[in-house]
Amino acid sequence: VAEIAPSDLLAVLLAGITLGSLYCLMSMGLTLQFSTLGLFNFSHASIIMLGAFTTWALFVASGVSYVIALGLAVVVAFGLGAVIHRTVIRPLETRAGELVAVIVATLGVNVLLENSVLVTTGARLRRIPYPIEGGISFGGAFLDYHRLLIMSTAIGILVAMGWMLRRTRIGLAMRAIAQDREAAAYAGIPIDRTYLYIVALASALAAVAGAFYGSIVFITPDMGLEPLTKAFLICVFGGLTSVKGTVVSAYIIGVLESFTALAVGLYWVPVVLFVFMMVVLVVRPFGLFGERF
Amino acid sequence: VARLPKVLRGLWAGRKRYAVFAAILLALVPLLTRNGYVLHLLILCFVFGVAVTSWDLTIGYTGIFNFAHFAFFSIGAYTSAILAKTVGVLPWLSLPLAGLFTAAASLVLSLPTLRLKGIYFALFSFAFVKVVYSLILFNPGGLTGGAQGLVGVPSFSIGSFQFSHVDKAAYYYLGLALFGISTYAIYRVLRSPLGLSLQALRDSEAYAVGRGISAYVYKVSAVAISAFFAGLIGAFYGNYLGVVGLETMGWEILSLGLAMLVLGGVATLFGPIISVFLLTVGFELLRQSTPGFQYVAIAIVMISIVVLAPFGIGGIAGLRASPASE
Repeated sequence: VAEIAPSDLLAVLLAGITLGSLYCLMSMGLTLQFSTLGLFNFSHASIIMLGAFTTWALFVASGVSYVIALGLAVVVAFGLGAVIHRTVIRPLETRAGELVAVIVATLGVNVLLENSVLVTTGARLRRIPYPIEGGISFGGAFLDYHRLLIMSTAIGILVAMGWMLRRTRIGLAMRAIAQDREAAAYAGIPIDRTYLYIVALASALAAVAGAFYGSIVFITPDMGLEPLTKAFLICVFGGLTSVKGTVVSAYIIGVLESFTALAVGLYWVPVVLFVFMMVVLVVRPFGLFGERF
Repeated sequence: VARLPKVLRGLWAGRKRYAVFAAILLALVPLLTRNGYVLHLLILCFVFGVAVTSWDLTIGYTGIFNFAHFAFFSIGAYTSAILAKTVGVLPWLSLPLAGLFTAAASLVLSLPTLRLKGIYFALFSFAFVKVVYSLILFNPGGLTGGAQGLVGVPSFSIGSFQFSHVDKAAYYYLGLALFGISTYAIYRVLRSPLGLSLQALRDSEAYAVGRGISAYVYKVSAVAISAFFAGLIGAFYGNYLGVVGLETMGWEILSLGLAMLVLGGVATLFGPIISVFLLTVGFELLRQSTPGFQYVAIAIVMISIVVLAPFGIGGIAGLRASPASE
């Protein structure tokens, strides 16, 4: 076994924080949806993929600038989220046993989008080149600008989300619904429209994460499944309904993942994360910041 | 009919006569044709029939969503293949052993998660698939064959008669027998105190617990029974193909199985059996005529059935026993 230098550890830590930022963007939307609508949206895997794919199609295949490509990918995902809410999620809301129904329906959306992309574009491996080349040396470790972009965008979005949830009408409406849906409805909050925005916003966040992720891994129709699995564990770790908990646990899981890959190899990452989460469930079933129940 | 012994009259009563009639028809097929392709498709129907009805035990009858069902299927397939090929156990013995091992493996997932709300089980079973996948791919001790899978799984034999992969009649009857036994067993489970308790827990957990039903013990048992049949039929499937690979737990087989379940109608038992036959054949036809589109079609089936006709074929045919709780 080769000696591990401190700069290597720093590099692994930076990789972990990058992953954490991506997971943060992916799982925040899931938590928002779970705390308000009380459901998990399994179509997120394909939204992550579509975010990457749309960005690729515009930036690489059509030569549009990166910022516009990313912006359009977000708009597409936002609209798609709204359509998914109207056509698939809303009809199931009031149904008995809606947990299973929503899972099946959103999984169906996932299979539909993945395979539509597969049959129309083929299984060719694609990758979005870094929009900004180069990077900086940092305490012996190299941090390329793309990772820096991911981290700073994630932080920017976090701050914006915090502001939105605390200061804007729509954000306050989301929090009110999360606290007590009935009371929010009596207070005149438009539940249905807020739900629409929540699903659309969550999809937009997933698309941003997907676009960045598409520069790190190859873009394939099923590229979203692996990060979605981790986003689920992150939501559980964060306590399912706490946005703050989700953010913190996204970074913890990201860093844990990259150190696991360094210590025992990439194959073992899912196993280690799963066992870790099982232990968490036994010791602290309500997660990091979740409420006791 | 009136003069028949009581047992036979029981079989003819009510809707059961359709099941008996279908079983007799299926038993006659190899006498009419030995076409390998026809038999192969029907064997696939038996495999999916067992996999989907046992899945329904958790999804439909208990109301917990189990993503790991085809991971259990693979665990059964690999366990039986490893026992038969590496250890040298007779396939007749490795099949039930694989079922039991799979049921035990399901406890790893169910014991910590089923104490909590249903969504925890759903999320962890989603991650469980990935864990099993990595472990098989990682190939500990050279047992699983990694990405290549296991080839040359020994086939069944009675005395000197070896089950043939070419003339599929022997495998056909074994598959039909397993399908019949498993469907009957699940039917009995559903009518037993256990099955009724599961449905009570699904419809109103607080009330069921108030009547003295242990939600934890019953749900864990439901997952274990469901996993037993998944492992058993997975073992049969691996043995029938002679090859065990990672595609037995892929996303494709999961969505196909789920489409069968929802098209047939969750919690209707015989509804999914009808849709298994429809979709196995439909899927095969689509795969040959327009490759790639079969999954798009399946996805459209899944979404539209769930949104428009919640209990699928079974709901339309009035097979659903208890009304949906409101």
